[in-house]
Amino acid sequence: MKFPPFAYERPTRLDEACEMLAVEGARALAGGQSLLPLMALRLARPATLVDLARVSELTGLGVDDGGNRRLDMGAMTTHAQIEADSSIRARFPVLAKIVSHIAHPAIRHRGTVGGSIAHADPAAEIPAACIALDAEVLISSVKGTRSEPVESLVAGPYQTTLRDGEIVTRVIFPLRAERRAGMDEVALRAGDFALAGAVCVLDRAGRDDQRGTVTFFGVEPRPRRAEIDLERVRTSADDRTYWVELASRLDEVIEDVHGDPSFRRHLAAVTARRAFASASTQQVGDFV
Amino acid sequence: MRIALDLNGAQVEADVEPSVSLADLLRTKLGALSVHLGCEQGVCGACAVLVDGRTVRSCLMLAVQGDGRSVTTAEGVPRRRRGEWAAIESAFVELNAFQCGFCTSGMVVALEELLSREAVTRSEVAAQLSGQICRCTGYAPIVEAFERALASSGRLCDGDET
Ligand SMILES: Cc1cc2nc3c(=O)[nH]c(=O)nc-3n(C[C@H](O)[C@H](O)[C@H](O)COP(=O)(O)OP(=O)(O)OC[C@H]3O[C@@H](n4cnc5c(N)ncnc54)[C@H](O)[C@@H]3O)c2cc1C
Ligand code: FES
Ligand code: FES
Repeated sequence: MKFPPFAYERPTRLDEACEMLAVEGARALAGGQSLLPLMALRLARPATLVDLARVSELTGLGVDDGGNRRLDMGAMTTHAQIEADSSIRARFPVLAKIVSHIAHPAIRHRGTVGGSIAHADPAAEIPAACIALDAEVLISSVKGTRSEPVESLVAGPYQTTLRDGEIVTRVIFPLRAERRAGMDEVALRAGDFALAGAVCVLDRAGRDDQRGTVTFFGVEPRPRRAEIDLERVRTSADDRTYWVELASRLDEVIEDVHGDPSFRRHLAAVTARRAFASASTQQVGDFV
Repeated sequence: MRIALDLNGAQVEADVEPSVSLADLLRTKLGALSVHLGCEQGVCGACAVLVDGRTVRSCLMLAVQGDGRSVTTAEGVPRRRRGEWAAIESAFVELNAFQCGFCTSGMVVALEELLSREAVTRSEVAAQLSGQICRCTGYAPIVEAFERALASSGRLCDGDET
């Protein structure tokens, strides 16, 4: 399986990249870990690939503790960089953990956060983590810049609201005091796409958690964030029934060779319960 | 497009079409026949090479993306390991860590990445091997060979990665 022919551009500045992507048939190339297999299989046939690797505006990663209180990463940040970054491991451990579930080390060395979001695989970890943690993306094109929460950007399976020629430039995660998070997923083998996964986020105010959400991935055509009834989880004798009930409300569950909807719903309940347990045991502080 | 890269310590140049993968450039123009192509879609790991010291799937990288980078294939590993190579080779042979050998060059490259670290845990060995498929031998002997190679150079350590 060889790639079909295409023209190749290698811009070094964002404005150049925007101009190149404004041309009919042009497509962004980030890590290539999703796009190149699609091209090998002839499921994608771009006329021009615009390689974003040398565009400096798309790199860099830092936690801002000052006025902005956020984690800001360039779209070309790789899964491996997220996994290894000490500020992410300290302040957003759930992010470091969730990317370690993406494929294998060799793929994590090249795959990027921007590419993952733009590709919008229903079972992908990063879009789900972004939705769970209220991340937004900054977007540029020849028409200007805009921002959009990942929650609305991801529109369906492999579908986003990105318009032709638009580049995701940065991904911004707010740093919330007293937020904790955990995740869990089930895959057939280490590195495979998840059959089902969940990211749980708990926001505390005062002594108790005031709000909890669980974001499912791999279960429906797009990640779905659901509110947790914290009072019920706290007071029920066996919280399993609560998670089963929550998962039973997922109404577009994927059916494929790996499992029918009832099996996936079961896995959704199991992973949500474990993600909640993992979030609950985290210390409260500037951790998510 | 004219590109230049460092291949196993030698500076090489090549003219390539953008649609040529790094794997095909290495195999067809640069003589690195250790690079095997199993699936050509990122799943099997037979085509593993190091780019700037990190493992990548050379079937999922364009040759033009390798411009200016340093590439190591299995051919280059013995030279990088120098005195340690004999012990690594005999670990693979003695433990039957290969049969047909199709996956072996990818395994050697995956091992080289671990050998370039100071300390490696058993769970890191397992994580590294999760991306390398072998259809013959079974993984236990390969894990053993990795661990022996790492232990003989004092790199295998206990403890959990987090
Ligand atoms: C064997 C294998 C297993 C995998 N397993 C998993 C897994 O378990 N979980 C998982 O989440 N992923 C998995 N992946 C996919 C991997 O994570 C990809 O790296 C990721 O989905 C896409 O990132 P990329 O940088 O490689 O993007 P590319 O492949 O370069 O691009 C993907 C798409 O996004 C567009 N794009 C890229 N960057 C931008 C940008 N900045 N702005 C606008 N559009 C952009 C491209 O035009 C293309 O349409 C796997 C891949 C392989 C080959
Ligand atoms: S040939 Fe590259 S991963 Fe299989
Ligand atoms: S030895 Fe034959 S594929 Fe591994």
